[in-house]
Amino acid sequence: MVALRKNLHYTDSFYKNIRLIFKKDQEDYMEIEKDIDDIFEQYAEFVYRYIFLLVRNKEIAEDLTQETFIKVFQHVHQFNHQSNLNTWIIKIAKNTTYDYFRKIKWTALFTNNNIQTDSIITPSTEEKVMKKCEIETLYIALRQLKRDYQEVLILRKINEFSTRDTALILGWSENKVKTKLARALKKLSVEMTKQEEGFYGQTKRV
Amino acid sequence: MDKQNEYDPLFSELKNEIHYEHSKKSQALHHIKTMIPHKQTIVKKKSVTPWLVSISTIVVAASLVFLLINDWSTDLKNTSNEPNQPSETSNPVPSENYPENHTIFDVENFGVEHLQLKNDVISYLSTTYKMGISDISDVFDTAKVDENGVAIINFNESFVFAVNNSMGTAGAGELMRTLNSYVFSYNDVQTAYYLLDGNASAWNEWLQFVDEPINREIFGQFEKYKITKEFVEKNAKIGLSYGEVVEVFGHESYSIDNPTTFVYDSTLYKPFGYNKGDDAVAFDEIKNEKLDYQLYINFWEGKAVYYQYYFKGDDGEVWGYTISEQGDNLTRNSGN
Repeated sequence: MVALRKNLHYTDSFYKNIRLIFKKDQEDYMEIEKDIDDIFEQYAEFVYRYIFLLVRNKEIAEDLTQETFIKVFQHVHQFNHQSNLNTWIIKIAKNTTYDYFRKIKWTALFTNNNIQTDSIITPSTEEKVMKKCEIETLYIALRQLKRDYQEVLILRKINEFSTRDTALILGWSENKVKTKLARALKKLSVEMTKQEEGFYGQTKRV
Repeated sequence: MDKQNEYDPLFSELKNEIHYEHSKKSQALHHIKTMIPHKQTIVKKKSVTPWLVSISTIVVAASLVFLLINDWSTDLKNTSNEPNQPSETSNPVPSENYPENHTIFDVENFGVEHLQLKNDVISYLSTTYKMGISDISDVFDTAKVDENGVAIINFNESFVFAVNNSMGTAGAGELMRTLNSYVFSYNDVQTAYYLLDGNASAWNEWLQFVDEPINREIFGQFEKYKITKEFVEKNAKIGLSYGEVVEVFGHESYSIDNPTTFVYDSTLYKPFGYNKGDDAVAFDEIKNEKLDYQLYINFWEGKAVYYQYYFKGDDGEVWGYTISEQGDNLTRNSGN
């Protein structure tokens, strides 16, 4: 970890690049701090949600979200405005998450054996229990799908990216996004039915 | 407007259930700011008095002279001890960046650029390492071939840093197999050198290979490792571990994640470059005999559960032979 040093400012190029994101000319130090805060505030939840749905562990998702934003600010000079800022940031989040996947045994991704996966059900009044169970069923069904399908559902349906932005993030054609989405929804429907019928005695991939 | 799906309301609810804890967010933001590029505080130096400059210059100059004298006397000693050996000073003076025994190419003046091969490498870097155009131009220079069929594929040194972390478990072997598949799919290439900034030895040192070029002849010796349908019938067993599969079938040509799949093909002995990023079977390539076969071995929980062997049948069509827990099966395929 970099130790904080007294009376430091960010580099000139960082100032310039952050300003360009917001298309501002001012170079006031305090404004820069606000810009960093704004970017983080605007996109952190978004990024965390995306990563959490892939890794299904709160602590890991928090670490990877932090790592993503470190990379965002360290590489802000590479943002060329050819896509939206959120698309660019999610692409970094995706690469960061996949780097993490490569470091762990792949079987841990699809079983509960090695890495604790977190439930998303929060305590609730009795009237809301049924709804929470449905959401939990969707959450479990989602993770039974292969990664391509998970990705396209998380980006298109949960994070509500457009087909074009999803294609940019995943490095696919728009047609591929549409095809994968259709297949993913079909597969999801099968998984939801299996979950509801208590098909699986244990977590298993199709 | 997207077509409404029955699960859309549930997706929306799921989205609302996942929250980034506020305290964690604040901690993260604090840490992130410490990692942003900072200027160093500039300390104003006092001006150095002229007499100090003079003394410093003299000391530095004297050191240089001493070092030079040392070198000369070493050369003289060597010459006098071995009067029949050529003097070291009579050899060409190597570049100050390279050891004497390194194989270096004058890339600019070598052969002619092989545009198709260059584009193959660019395409490979783009699909495998997800590099954009500017990233690729940072790491890859050119591919050239001369009239003797010697090819040089010159990467910049930054390629090492770009791929070191994402090479995967197959590592150097998979990188080389794939590059060789592309390079030797061109009949005008007989010998290939891979270079880092013009240095073939640096490339081999990085990947810890023997410092020799790759010659087309070596591929012939691997034909004995060709995997036939009969071999698959006899040796493909459900439940083999990764290590057992490698023992039986050898190292895979490449692998796919999700699920883990080893792919074997004829590029081992018959170089041919094709897009390995997709999990789609290369039906056209098998049909037009660029590939003799593809064998996919799917793993689940570290054990082989499914074998699929694709080959061109006597009828000219592509056939798929599969082995699973349910038994084996042979079907004719019409493509993806």
